[in-house]
Amino acid sequence: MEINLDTLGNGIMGLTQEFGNFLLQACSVCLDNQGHSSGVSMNLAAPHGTQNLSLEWSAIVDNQIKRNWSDLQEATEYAATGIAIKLAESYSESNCIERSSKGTGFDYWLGDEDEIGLFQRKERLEISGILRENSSNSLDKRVNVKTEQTKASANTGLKAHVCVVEFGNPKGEYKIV
Amino acid sequence: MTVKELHREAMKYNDLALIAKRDDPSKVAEYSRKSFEFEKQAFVLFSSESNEEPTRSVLLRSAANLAMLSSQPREAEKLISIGLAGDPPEELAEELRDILQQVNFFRHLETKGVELDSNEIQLSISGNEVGHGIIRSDEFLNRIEIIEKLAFRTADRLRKKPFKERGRKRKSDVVEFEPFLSVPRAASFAVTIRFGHSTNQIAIPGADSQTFLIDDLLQNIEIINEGNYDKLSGAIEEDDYRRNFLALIKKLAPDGERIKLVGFTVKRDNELKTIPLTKIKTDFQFEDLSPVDEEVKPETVELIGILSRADSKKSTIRLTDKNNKDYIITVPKGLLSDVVKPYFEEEVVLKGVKIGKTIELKDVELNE
Repeated sequence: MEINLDTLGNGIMGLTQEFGNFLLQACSVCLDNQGHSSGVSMNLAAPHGTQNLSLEWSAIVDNQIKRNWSDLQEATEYAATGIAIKLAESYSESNCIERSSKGTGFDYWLGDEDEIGLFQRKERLEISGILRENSSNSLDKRVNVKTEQTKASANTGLKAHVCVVEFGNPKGEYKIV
Repeated sequence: MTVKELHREAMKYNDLALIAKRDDPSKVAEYSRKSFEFEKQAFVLFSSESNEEPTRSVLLRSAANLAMLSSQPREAEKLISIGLAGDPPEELAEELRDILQQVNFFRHLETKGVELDSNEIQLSISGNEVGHGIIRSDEFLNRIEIIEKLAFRTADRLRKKPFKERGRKRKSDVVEFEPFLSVPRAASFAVTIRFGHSTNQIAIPGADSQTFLIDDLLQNIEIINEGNYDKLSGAIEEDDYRRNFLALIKKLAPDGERIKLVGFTVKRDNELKTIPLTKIKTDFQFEDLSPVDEEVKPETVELIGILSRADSKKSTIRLTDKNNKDYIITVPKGLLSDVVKPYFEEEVVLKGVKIGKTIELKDVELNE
């Protein structure tokens, strides 16, 4: 399956084009930093089994862009968000993402474009990114931490989506709990 | 406009602020303020029609957070109070309380009438191990020790001295830069640290080496807040000093639970300047994040054991794990004395990279 990251800039899932392009740039910076080029494959543990995805993008990473994204940790979080939103397009039944301000970033809620209330009956989307995995900062450990965090909102009776992406040897997990 | 339209307008301006942070920093404050105004209006309109959860608390939390991002802590305080006075879901109530803690902390960074000389710095600490004017002793004492080490190392670096891995502190450094503490104040927990001039000597603003040292230290903390490790390489060019600085700042940083916030206040040009240390311990990067060369990809290792021996001549340490297996680890220059030594005979978690048969230390912390 092909994931065309360029479409983030079209304002998918109700997000602004500006934010989509911002996420696209973060994705290209992290993938470039780890020595990958468009077409790199990503192994994904998806809700219905393992999939091999091909990540495609055309954005160019020049020195100016690298300087703008000097905080690679921040870039990694937004890059993971870009990929998580593309995956949510495929693996969730929702057509819209609502955001709210939290810390220096956002938290994300999946649902439909409806009139029942901004965050009513919306499912939380927990996202995290790892630039390069190591023994203490592995994909599995991060997925467990994020899954644990969703338990705090379990009493709403709604599902939560967890997506963690690793960019060193691109892989990820998207699960619905 | 509807609640949804107002909220989306708020998010649009938040996006613009995020983008401006990179492209045009002069616009960040304006966009952040607009973002907050729209989110507040979204909540006001929503609350005139409904008090359904979680929308009520999510909007309030978002507006309060945007108030903090746009430097309006009093607005954040008012919104959090409204939020907690209702019946928010527990998870959101906890998030509102976290923002309230930030509001209080920024209030406590102010000096409350205490005068600061240019060779003085106020250290403020807040978190679950901190009460009103009281703090768990090791959380405080360890940080004071780290500040002392930072001061001596910075003084040596600024005077172009080579990094000193062994031996006693220079007598001139002790006289000029040794920290002296005031009586603690009941803020979160705040204390004034004066460098050098132990008795009643008054420092001349802008003319003393202590001021220069404090400004250099705080400027480099701001670079770490930005996460700009390239810029830090420019500010601290020497690898040993930079490695030492990063490792010490990590030990100074909040852990996110016991200590949630650490910040500094100084007085410059008759204005108070506050610098919070915004990164938490787990945010610090010690791995080499340069692009990967597949052929020489180093293997990262994590070991748990007792630090049982050090050889300062060879710059190595020995770690013994629970199976009594010994590992010899090479310690890069800048870390042995200030960072590793305090952990001798303690059980630690050690992170390193293995290249061939050699393990090189990257990070070490107490196993808690």
